[in-house]
Amino acid sequence: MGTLVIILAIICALITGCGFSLMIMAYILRNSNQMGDSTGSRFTYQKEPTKVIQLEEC
Amino acid sequence: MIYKCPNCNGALEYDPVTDKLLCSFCGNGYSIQEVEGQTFRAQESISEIKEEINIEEEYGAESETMECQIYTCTSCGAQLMVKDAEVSTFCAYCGQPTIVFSRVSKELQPDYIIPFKFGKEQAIAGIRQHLKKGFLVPKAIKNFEVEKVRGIYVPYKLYDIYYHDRQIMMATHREKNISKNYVYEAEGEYENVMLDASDTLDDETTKRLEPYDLRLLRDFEPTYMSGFYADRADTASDAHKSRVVKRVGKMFDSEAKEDVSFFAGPVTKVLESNPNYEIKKDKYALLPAWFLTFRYQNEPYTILVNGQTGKVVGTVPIDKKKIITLAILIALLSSVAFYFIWYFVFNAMRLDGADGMVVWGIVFGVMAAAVTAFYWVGIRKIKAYKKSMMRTKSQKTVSYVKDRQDEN
Repeated sequence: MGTLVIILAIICALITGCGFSLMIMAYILRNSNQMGDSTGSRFTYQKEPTKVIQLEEC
Repeated sequence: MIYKCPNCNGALEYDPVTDKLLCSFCGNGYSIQEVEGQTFRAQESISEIKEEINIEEEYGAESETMECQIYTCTSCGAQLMVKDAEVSTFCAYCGQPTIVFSRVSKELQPDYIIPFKFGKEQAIAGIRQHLKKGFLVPKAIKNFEVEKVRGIYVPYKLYDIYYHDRQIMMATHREKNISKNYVYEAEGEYENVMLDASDTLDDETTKRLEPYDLRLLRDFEPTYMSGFYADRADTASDAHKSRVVKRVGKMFDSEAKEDVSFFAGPVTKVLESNPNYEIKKDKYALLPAWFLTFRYQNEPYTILVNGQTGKVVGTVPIDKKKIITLAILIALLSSVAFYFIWYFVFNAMRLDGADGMVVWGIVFGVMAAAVTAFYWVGIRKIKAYKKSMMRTKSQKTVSYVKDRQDEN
């Protein structure tokens, strides 16, 4: 039973580690090689905030 | 038409740094107001010969008509072929900046222009600075050799739009945790919503150049174009309007979802939408951008720089050796750390047996969700990187930059 726990823990750790590495690499890649992707830097076109006329349950 | 220096008769070019027209020979500088005055205004020194090639005659009625114009440079006598959309270019032989005045003096004259604020060298330096910081950028790209660099005034249309919509949305009620329908009706006024009006450029590419500070729009003067390339708008008006309305619709929908989510709970579905809009005003402006092309492993890449703000836009390939080494290193180190966590969870499940099954089951579920999130975020970001890279490698953009008369 103890060996099974160790084997399961190793398999899960490898899967988790690879996923974690993939995510970190994707972040590094985005900051390092992608320039000027406009997320969050969109120009605000609105003259004034949208005027809500109706918002209710129906 | 070209602007000539009253001192030495050399060509005048707009200089973004001094906001003046400088003579490329004697170095004298003149303000825009001075040059626009009669004494400085050059004679029509480019004689214009129009040659219309009507493909319709050759290929039948359904083919498009292509207009080709040939201008004779009076400075050197060379004949220049100017594409249909070009309004400002250079003589390929003597390097004289040339403005096709007839194309900006008639019905399609832009209303506004934002002059270049960054010169060619500043644009190149900006790109190099960005690339130098890139940990995964190959050395060859960091020290790239410029193949082409063009300062181009891109034609844009700016719209003032009124937008109204009445939507019915399904949302999960935050407290009761049940799905309910909500009616949402709102209206908004949008100002200067911009979209490039060039058929040869991809909308997604130019959108990434935003934002431009439109408070600094100036009334159009052809003098600003001297020394740069410029195109006129060539997109069909109706198609362009529908694209810009779609853009406003997206902004409106995202705000509507935010409002309903704040009011009730997360929106799960939009069941009904009845949008209506009115385009109150449309303006035509030329906005500055630098397009720089370089080659890496025999493939061309085009990096863009916003000519007003200096924002650099583009995605470059990775240093494969570096990324593989780093990925393996992170995977191994984190696997060791995760081993202890998983071992602890599995061991606790084994020791506690049925009593602790619920608690450790939840812990296991959380861990599994975290693993899924790692892969989901990673794959999504890599897909976005690839998409962005395709735009930087786009043949359409490369042709947009390349197919022009060279400065020298």
